[in-house]
Amino acid sequence: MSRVWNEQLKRWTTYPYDLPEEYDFQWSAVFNINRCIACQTCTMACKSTWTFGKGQEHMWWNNVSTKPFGDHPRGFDAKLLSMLPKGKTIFEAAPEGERVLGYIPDDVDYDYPNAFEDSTCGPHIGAGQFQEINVSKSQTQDKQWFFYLQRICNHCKKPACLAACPRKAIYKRKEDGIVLIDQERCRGYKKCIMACPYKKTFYNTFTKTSQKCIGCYPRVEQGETTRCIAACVGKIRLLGNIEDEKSPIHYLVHKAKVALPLYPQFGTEPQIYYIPPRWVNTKFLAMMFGNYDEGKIKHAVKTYMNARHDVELLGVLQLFGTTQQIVGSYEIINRSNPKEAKVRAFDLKGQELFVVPIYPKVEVHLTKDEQLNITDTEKLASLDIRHDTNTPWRNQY
Amino acid sequence: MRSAKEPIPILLLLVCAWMIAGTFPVPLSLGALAATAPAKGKQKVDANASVKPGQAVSSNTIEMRQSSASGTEVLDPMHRSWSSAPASSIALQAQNVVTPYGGGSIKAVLVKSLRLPSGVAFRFEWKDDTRDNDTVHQTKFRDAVAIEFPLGTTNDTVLAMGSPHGPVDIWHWKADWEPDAPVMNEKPYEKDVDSPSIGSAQSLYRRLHVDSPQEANTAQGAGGPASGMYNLFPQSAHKSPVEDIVAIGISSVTTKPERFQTLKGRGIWRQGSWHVAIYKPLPDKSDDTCPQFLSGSSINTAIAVWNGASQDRNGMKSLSNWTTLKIR
Ligand code: SF4
Ligand code: SF4
Ligand code: SF4
Repeated sequence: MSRVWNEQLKRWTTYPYDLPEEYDFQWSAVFNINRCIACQTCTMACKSTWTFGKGQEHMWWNNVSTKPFGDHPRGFDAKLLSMLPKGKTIFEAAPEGERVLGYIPDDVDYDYPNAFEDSTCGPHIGAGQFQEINVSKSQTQDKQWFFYLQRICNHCKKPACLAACPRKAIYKRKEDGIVLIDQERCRGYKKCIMACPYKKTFYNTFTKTSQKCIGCYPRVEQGETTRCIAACVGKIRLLGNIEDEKSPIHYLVHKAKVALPLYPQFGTEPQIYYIPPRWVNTKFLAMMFGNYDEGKIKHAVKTYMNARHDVELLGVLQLFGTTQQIVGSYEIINRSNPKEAKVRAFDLKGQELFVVPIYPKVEVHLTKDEQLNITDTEKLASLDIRHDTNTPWRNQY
Repeated sequence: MRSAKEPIPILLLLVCAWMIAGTFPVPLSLGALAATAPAKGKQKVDANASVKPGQAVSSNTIEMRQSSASGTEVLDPMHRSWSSAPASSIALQAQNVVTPYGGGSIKAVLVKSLRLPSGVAFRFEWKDDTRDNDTVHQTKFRDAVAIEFPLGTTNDTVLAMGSPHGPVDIWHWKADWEPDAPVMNEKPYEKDVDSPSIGSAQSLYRRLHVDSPQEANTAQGAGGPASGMYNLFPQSAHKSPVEDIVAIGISSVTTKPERFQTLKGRGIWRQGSWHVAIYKPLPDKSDDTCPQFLSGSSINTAIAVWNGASQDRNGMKSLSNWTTLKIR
């Protein structure tokens, strides 16, 4: 048993094994919930690459669910939250004789991978009434809300799956922090399935071994992003090395503090960080992403809503989904002149990948009705989103 | 990340044992280590000396009797050749030394042993109300039994999976490796969704939409079991329900290479009891991965039983103490 520092909880916790002090590279990603359209392209990219085999029918190493009600396996988070005493990690709350608090989902829990898709939460809106979209600074929360949650293995710094395996068949790679199950050593004890609080290890009913997201390590080793990240239509995902201060992931998590981990209270130090959705109940988000601290959510949402005035943040957001290479570092060019501001991205070896404008020029093409010979000049004026230093970028961003 | 050890010596010891055990693969060339032949003075009093064949007594000794039966005959746990062997009732208890703890639901196992011209055989019998041979479902676990022997020069290795200096040989019978156990159906995607066969994807996940026939692939690029790795678990038809294992400490259990997998077995569940026979063809004298079972010698042995219905697996098992096997 070790005493280990949990950076997300900002306190010492226990962990069954000694862990390396440092990782050279910690595989980590930021997912921007605000932009996800739940198209499931990521889900199918992973499925068709890694889990199309017999015995893997129920496996979704990547899944996108509708919160608050949906997820896969069914209700995994609500169940564990109800089991976990507040203020304790799953390691600290382990029952006598176990290393981790957890449970194994039943077959039926895997039956409905996308249950409650697009189901909203909130007070009833009667006939003839409409949802008000609230974007004022003081109040960003909508009455009726739902949001999409994109989940893959968090390649945790304190992996519960690894801790629970009595055979040490699970290991975390020193070179990139990716957590893998050795398929030669696994004997299907399902202790990892019981222990992973995110239920991201799966029992293969044909091979009788447990399998999990491999962080697309063959791609990562080539400096490329994962399948689920490369395929993302909404460009909501960015992969990188959180340990590197030059990395955009480090910036978003540690400097801008705009991205937060999922259920940090479980204590595994998960390495997928989420930009929380601006329209959702803050208290609910605090339970999911803030270890019950609403201040963290408010800061993240406010920072994100202010991105149009924050040249570095907006610059980093341009890096999402722009390349299949892992962005190792970036620089902001012409920081003080928004018209010319650009972001330049470098790969992990420091080679330039691309340069893109931070405030892209937008051209507006209005249709002209030839028959009536009408062009809406008023509308044209109101849609003036050309660069205007007095009211910078007030539209469209 | 900062880290500091917690000053709990016992736990540290366990961590150390675990770290040592992490040095894989276990070397199987134990050639330098002679076969076990404990000193005669160490032998215990034979508690079964006056017991009639077949009659069980609670004991810490198992007697291996000579028999002229064939390997095929003893592989039937109900065969009459077993009636000539004395039965020892070996007490079992829960494993609570190494996490995860567990077991304890099986209190005793009846053990018989025979030395045949062609090999050695053991027969295990224990009460278990449920026959758990289904490992297809998420929350199901198998019934199993295993017998452990020290290897090499020491007969007194660590009971819990041996040690780096005292490796152990483990014969592990699994209910779900028997030919009649449910497996993933070869055609899991049948048209008839209302009566899917056991083990089909449709019977496992009634609402899951699976629309294309698939191969048993499994992530070959990711180092899945189909990528040439040596793991006996992924096979749908097992050559034998008994696996031969070597271990050098907690968490070090390793399947022996294929050429050493000569164990055979047969398990029958009848009227609330398992009857399991394990047969081992006599090993080559130079094979140091298995005890030699020399006539007239005594060796240590330990037995464990897993009850699938109690979610037993790995160290969660009902375990005996060291028990003396007297080879006649
Ligand atoms: S591909 Fe991207 S946008 Fe589509 S569901 Fe996945 S994360 Fe969301
Ligand atoms: S998310 Fe689960 S499977 Fe992935 S590293 Fe963390 S504990 Fe292990
Ligand atoms: S990182 Fe790779 S293996 Fe993991 S969920 Fe994404 S695509 Fe699947």
